[in-house]
Amino acid sequence: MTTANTADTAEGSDASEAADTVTTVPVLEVEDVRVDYGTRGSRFTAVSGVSFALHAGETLGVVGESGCGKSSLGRAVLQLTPPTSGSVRLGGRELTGLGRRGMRPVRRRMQVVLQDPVSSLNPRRRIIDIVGEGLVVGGASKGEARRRAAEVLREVGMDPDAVGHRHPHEFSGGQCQRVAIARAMAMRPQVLVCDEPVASLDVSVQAQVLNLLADMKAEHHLAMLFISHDLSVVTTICDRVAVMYLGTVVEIGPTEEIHRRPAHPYTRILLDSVPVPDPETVDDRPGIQGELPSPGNPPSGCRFRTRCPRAQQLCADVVPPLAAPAGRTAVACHFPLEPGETLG
Amino acid sequence: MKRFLTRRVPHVLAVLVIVTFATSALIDLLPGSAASAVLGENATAAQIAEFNARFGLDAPLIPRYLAWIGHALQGDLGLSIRLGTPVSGLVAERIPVTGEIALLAILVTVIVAVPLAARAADRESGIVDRIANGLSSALVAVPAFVMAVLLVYVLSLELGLLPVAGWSPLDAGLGENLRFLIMPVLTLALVEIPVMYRVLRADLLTNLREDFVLAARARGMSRSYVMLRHVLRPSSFSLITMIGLTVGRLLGGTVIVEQIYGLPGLGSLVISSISSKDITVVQGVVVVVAVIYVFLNLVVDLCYTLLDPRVKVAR
Repeated sequence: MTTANTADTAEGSDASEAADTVTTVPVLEVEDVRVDYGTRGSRFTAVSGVSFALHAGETLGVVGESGCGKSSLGRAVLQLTPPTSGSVRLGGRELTGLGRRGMRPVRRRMQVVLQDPVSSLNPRRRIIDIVGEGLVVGGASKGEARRRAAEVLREVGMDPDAVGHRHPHEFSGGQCQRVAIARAMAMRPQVLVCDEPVASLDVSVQAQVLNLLADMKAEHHLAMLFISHDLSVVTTICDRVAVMYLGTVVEIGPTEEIHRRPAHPYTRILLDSVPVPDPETVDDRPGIQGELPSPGNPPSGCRFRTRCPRAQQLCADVVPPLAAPAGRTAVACHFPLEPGETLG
Repeated sequence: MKRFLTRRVPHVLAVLVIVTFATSALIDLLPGSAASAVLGENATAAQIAEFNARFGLDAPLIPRYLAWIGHALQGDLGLSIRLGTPVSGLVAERIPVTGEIALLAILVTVIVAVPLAARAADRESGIVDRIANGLSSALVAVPAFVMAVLLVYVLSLELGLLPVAGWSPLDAGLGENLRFLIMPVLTLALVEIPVMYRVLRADLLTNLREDFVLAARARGMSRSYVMLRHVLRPSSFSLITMIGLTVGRLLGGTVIVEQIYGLPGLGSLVISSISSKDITVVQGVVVVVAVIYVFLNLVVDLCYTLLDPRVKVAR
């Protein structure tokens, strides 16, 4: 009797644990992804061994200088440039190795919003067709696709009757980006990859588009990968941030933490480069020195060591692993900063 | 549409006036005279004066041109100086030959070049791309007259498949007609295909790099769908431009091919008329070709507005 009881309770707790894990299983799991470009002679690694997990309703920001591999990472996740090695799982299903044909039915579940809102819309199409096309290709009837397209256009704050029959060149950058978001959302994706979605917009319009993306995420419980070079944009919209340098993640953690207590010197420098909107402030924060090394021939050991004010011999010899000190963000550095510590 | 035409028609008329005026002026510019070419070296001054009066060659340039254009507008292109028959009849006789060759050549060019360019651009640096690039470079370097001789050598002399030269009109039977057509058409197409292939391939590659292509692929569209709907369609712009220019060029430019294969087309008519100073025929052919050319370009421009909604607004 007692044994049965314990078995019961054990089973019960198992079930509740299982239910727990169901909700916490990440939608997107990226493991040790590596992207190589070029052919035999001139090969270089754009992304070398990046891992992260993304849950539904969560936004992960990816920040870094241009050329650090953040866009390549986004494309590798989408399998638009299939990664050279590593694993990308969507809802537990492995995507690498599916091939073009195998990916096609999965594609609708991961959508993308690109940087240039004008070039990302086919200039010869009408808005309503741009938004609905993916559905038609997916097997929906023309009428169905139009209805859904009108629905999402309304959702992104555009009047389908007024804009549906027009062409992209009749709209501003911000409006085009709304259309691009509607086009992605029409597919009802689980994951949305935003590759610098506001980088080419005016600051005033940036806020509107960011709000729209935040609304979309909240309403549809989206998992969002938000790629940007702009740290202030990332902090407003992301739950967690991954900082990339030369193809690797140097620090990853909750946005608040990264912002208040950065552990990696590079993160600190990035934060210090955000301008202070006050003419009275004297900016004496140390900036970054030197040039970004060639990704074709990265420095040995820690890739950041050539520009790091704290670099020592160890940094040249040993690659620092991405590890989380107790209660801190995960950081790949031999000499992470203490909370509140500054450089220089 | 109305605005388009009101803007373009004066433009077209100006081009035609300039072209016809220039050919009228040829008589004054060319060395020698039509009269001495027809009547011979020993003609008397009276004979020459009588000849010039008969063909209106004695009048000064401007009145001569005005008289010619007055008649031309009524469909009368004058009499051939050499043959004494109406020019319009001569031209009408020759147009079907040149027209058939030019149209077939452009058809073959498009049928070969478009799918080839699409396939090559789709897999850049793939095997098809590399072979097609190599072949097109080689073909671009071969001029039409070399190509014609080469084809005659291989297809007629070595393999004995086709007649070396000659012509059989369409109403004497399609089979015979085609036998004489194959080599001229092939010669022209082999010269045009590499040009069209290269321009179109480059254009397609540019379009393939656009973000909307990436976005289309991200929505799960197949390769062929993306190529057809998102890449080839914007490229139809340059394709239509090329077709318009090529047809125009072929109409006037079949001269060499017609000469080599002994075809009774506009090209050979012009050649023989120039050498015999039959200026009225030259003028007639030039005006007909110019009208066709200008008209084709008008159609091409019209196609732009149909293909690209942005052009309409810009106008």
